[in-house]
Amino acid sequence: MPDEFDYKIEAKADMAASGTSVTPIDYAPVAERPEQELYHSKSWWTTYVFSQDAKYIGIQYTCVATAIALVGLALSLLMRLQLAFPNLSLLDASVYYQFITMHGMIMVVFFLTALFLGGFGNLLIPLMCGARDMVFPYVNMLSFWVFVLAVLVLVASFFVPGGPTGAGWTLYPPQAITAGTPGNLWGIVLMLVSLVLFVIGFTMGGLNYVITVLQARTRGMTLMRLPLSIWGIFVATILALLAFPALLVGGIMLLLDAVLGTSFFMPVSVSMGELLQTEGGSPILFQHLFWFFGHPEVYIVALPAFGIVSDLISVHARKNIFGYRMMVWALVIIGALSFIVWAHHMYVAGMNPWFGYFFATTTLIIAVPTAIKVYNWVLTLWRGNIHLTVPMLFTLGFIITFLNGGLTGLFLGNVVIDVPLSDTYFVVAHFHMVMGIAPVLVVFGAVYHWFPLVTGRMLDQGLGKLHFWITFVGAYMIYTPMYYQGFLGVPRRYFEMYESSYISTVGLNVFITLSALVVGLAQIIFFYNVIRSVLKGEKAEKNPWKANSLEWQTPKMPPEHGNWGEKLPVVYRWPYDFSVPGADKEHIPQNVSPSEVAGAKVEKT
Amino acid sequence: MKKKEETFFQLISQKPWEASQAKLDNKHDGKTLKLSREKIGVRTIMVVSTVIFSFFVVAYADRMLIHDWKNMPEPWLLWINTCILMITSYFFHKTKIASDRSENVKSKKWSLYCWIFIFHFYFRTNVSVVSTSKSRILCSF
Repeated sequence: MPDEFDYKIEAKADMAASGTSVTPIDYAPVAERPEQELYHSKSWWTTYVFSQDAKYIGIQYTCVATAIALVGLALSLLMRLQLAFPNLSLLDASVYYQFITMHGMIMVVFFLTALFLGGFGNLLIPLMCGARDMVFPYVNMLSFWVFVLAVLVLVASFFVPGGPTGAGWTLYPPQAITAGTPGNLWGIVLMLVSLVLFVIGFTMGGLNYVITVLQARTRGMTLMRLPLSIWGIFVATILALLAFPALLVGGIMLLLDAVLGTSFFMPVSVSMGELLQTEGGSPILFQHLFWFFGHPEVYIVALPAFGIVSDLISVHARKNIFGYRMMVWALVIIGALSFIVWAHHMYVAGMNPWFGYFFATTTLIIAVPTAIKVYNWVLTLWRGNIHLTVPMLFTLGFIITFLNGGLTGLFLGNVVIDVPLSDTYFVVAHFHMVMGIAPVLVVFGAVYHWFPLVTGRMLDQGLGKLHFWITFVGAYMIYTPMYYQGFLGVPRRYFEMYESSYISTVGLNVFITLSALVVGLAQIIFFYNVIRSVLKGEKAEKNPWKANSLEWQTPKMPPEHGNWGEKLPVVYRWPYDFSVPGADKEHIPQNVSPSEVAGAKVEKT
Repeated sequence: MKKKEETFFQLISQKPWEASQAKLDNKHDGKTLKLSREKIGVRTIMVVSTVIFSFFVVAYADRMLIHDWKNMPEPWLLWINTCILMITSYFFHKTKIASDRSENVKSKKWSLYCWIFIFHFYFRTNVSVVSTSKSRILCSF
């Protein structure tokens, strides 16, 4: 009976807890549902290309997202070269705006969102929940290939007449579809089609992530025994399922404006000296739709990063996470609040000032649960046995970077401060710190941490540390001067800037560009490390970081198809039992039964 | 003893490190809801679809408030399309009944009717949208 407890089992548990029995305890409930029927591939194509195994799909997502991110990185370096050396005329204004647009959209949507949810979500959810695979593997595969199609459509816009859209990554009408804006014909259409495809693909994937977390966990794995990585991905997926529709709707309506000549977002406009035949549309309406997606999008990227960082800190500081329950609550509260802060991106859009008052207040409120998370990370480190491994270095780098990115966000959340800073490099620095560098540091930390799980080999720690320090210090050399430029009032979005009698930033621009080039080139170290380690890296022992979560407890490493061999694991504890008083072992994996650690006392958190 | 139904907020208020909670947790079967995966999948899609259409309705209604809005000039098209959708739904239902009874020939026949009406629906919709937009009367200009 699914609704009944097994009292014999409970009695055994009581005996074990009181130390009156030496009988091994296997007091898991009887499996009440049949094992998931897995799809077993029969050819190379269905194993490695059209794979339905979440692990492979996760790796595929990671590879495609990384590939498109390299395009985004190259665009940013070209823009920086143009800014540092405007006399070279490397890019003209149109191409500069096109690169800005593509860089922003690629990095935010097609790299970070796809990587955290599609990449880490697929890799970690089934393994950490103790499932054999996602609940709908075929839909999961479709999700990835629709994502690939979206990326291809986006890339195709580089090759169409007029090139990609140069409307900025926010795609604001009316300029996005008006003559004079680069890519206002084919470019914007392909961008919007690509986004629509991305949302469709993501919805198929998101369906899998949510239902697998809710319904396909192994026995004993309650919601509150889930690692925080899964909590982060789970909440972010729900946010995405509710926020992406706003982008979809805005995108489709803008597409209708661009292709069919409707006027949802097009006001009375004069273009190239001629009065357009549009009127009555509301550009502000598009901004509301875009930012209703756009602000939760920040947390769609940040929440998985928060979760992963929590797990990395705990494992590499050999200490249970401080305030686990509060961390879960903070994730949920941040997720909920993220839907009522969107218009803080629109203080200068001309909306009613009372709106600004409301959204400034909610923006400051959302800082509270976010700050709780930062405090808890620091308190987890406090008196921990900190191992300065490469994942830990990246994690520490994230905390510092997120902190300074977040604090500068408090400035911008206030209307009176945002108005003068809004169009300056201060925003560029804030945004890149909190939404660019911080999550990317988590991505690197996670890759160094879970690389042995995927390949069975360790990444070189020496090269990893070199990679970390150049990336971390270099990032500050790029963005700290940008904060300063912002205070000076240097405007963003200008494709060339020279000396003026008011502001002199040419020297700083050269410095920033050289730093960016060094950081960009330093990523070669990372890719060299990955390729070298895959081919002939040191073989990893099983569970090399001595972690407790289930992904490291598979019978084989890397895990095989179906993950768990013949029997699914049974979970007896949360994943943060490190240095438990009275226990023989320094860490107790989630699937270790109470009888194996009878003397262990539970430590309060 | 019946397992107590707990709300999401009660679930995330549990203290997994406490011995008494651990005993309860060890007996957990790993499912949060007493629903099949398929049902939850359909409900999730319904929720997402509702959100999408809510945004459409809100955005469309917002546009309607602006002074130069004009209604679509061909409301009869909506009625015809609604009728076609209802007929298609009827044929879908007949197809399902035939399929459940393993009556393959009937099933194929009804599904063919479905496709004919679906095609008719899309053809009419597309032609009308394109023609109205070309004559610039879908919205006001």
